[in-house]
Amino acid sequence: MRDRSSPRNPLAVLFVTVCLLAPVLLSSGYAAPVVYLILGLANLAVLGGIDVPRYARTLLVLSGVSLGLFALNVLAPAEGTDGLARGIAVFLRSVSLISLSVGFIFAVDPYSLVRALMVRLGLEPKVGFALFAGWNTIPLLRRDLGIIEKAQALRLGRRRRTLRDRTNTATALLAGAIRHGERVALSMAARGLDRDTPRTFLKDSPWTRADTLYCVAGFLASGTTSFVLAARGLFAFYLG
Amino acid sequence: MKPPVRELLRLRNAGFRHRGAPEPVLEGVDLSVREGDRILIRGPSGSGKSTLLQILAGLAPEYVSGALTGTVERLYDSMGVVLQNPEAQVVTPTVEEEVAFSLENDGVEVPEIRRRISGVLDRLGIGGLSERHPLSLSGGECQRVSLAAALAREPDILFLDEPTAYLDRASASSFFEALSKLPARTAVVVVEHRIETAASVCSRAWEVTPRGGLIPSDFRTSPPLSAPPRPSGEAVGPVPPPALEVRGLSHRYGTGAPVLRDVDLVVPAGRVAGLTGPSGCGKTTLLGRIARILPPGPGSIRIAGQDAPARKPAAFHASLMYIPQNPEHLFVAERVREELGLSGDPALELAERFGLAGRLDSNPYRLSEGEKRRLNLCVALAERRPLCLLDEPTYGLDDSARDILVRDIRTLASSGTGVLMVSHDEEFLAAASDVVLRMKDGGIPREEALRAGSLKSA
Repeated sequence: MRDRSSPRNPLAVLFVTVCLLAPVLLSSGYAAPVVYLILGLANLAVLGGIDVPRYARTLLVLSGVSLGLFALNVLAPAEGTDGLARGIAVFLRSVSLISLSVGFIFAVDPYSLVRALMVRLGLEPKVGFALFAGWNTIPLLRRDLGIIEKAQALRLGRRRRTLRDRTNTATALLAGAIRHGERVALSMAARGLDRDTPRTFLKDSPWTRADTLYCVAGFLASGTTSFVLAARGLFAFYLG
Repeated sequence: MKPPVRELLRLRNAGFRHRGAPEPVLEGVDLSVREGDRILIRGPSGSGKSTLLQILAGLAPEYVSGALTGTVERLYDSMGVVLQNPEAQVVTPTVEEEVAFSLENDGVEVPEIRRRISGVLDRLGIGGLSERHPLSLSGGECQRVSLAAALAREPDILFLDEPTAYLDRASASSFFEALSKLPARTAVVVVEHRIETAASVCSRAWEVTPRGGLIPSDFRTSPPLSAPPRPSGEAVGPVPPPALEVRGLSHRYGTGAPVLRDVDLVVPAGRVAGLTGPSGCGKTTLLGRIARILPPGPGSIRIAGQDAPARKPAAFHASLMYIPQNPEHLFVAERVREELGLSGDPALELAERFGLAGRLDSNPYRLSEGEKRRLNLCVALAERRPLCLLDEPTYGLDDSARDILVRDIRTLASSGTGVLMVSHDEEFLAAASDVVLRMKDGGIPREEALRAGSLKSA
């Protein structure tokens, strides 16, 4: 999922992704979502390092949301609208938004993104490293969840879990997470995270000329596509 | 001429009360630490050792809520801290960034950071791990990374809060060996239960008393854990039927190397088998396979004579208790009384025997570590299941709580339950178990496994 050798600065990837997302958000109709989806996939191909099967599996799962929106519009259309046409438009738009967003998540290492935000955009290190620690906690929570569920199922002698059982699991998990968070916070404080001195970074988040060119190219590609679609009457402005 | 020895810390009549606590945890503490001092802080669990260390390191009351009284003068320029749990100190995604973290916070220039990282990692023998994620390392390696992070600061004083609590004996010895190579002027204040190991580094000892005072102490070790009488392998009588029978068990994670290799193990009913071995040797994986926390794989597991994987979930769940490393993971009620009540009246009757009668209306999460363990065991005993699995039952327990736990586990076994427990605490295993098995490279030597299976009745 993570691509530590990604050639582009995460903030450049974020900028280009926003450039591709914005027109999809602002349009209705069939053409714009499809064209921007193709541009987004091309962008991912340029970036490289994507775990394609996992990306596809994730999209398949999340496309359930798009299908739900489609069904909602077809089965219960708003008054005076063509439910099927509206359903297809909403479906395409949501698939495109999901694909572009998930593509960004798969293309950028979360640690690199947070580091870039700290180094380039002045995100408070306290916030940035709390995000680092939070990300580190996810696999630990997953491990603990498995243990808690099994230990409590064995304790209570049943497999089928009631709402109360799930609440107990959540309580035990939360208690552990809070304690873990307190300890990590103490460790960070002991290592001087709250100091007022200017901070240095061992790993920089360099912004190169190639990043600038990549952003300009992304912006121009998105803008030009919108212009061409609008000129051909295929870009219907819609906010909602 | 030798430079004068500098005083680094001075406490006068210091005390601390945690927010919401009725009584102070520390009171009237006087302490002076000078350059080169190597001080052991000892005392029972919950006596305030860690709080004292947090005061010395400037973390309490700034980051640990409570009221500090008396005078605390911190005269050192830089300090390093290593806490108990290696996992809870990891912030960054690579070892080198973890070591660099405090230096970055201090504003040290990058070339100097690189020089110090390389020096300290090589000194601690973990130079090859610099690009690894700290959470992918073993507990011992991860704690060495924490030590490296503290040492990279070139501190005047190092504070260590039970740094070997989560490590096996070999890793703990190796950790203290690394400490013995510190520059002579670096002071060390260490809170540690492993007195004999800490004695190799420390020159003075202080003890936090149950009343929260600090008195000079020594390096005397606690009397050995008392081992109640139990049947030996040579005892006359029939071999009880197996509570657990494992044959040819193997396991691997994904496409990695096997973690378990053809493990055979028999735990007779009413007997206690202790399992130890270095970190990563497969102990917890073995428990995970038996308790079905991990997916099934090659090998057979029989509990009380029944094929465990083939049993229906309800029957399987009724055949064993699993007490995880963190006792809180087993809690399912808001009050101790309710927790025990779920296992029927016998559990409530057992509360007195397990010293919990006065805590019945407490929230289980508010019990001490020792009480939480006892509550788990009380439930296990009341449930009367054929097999009980315990994962690292002595984490967070002091000597007296361990002593009580030995007795409680023997009581559990005497009710007919077969007990298999995994621990790094070899002294505890020796006291509480009928047989101690050593796991190595994912296997248990066949003669040891046979010895466990042949434990006869008394």
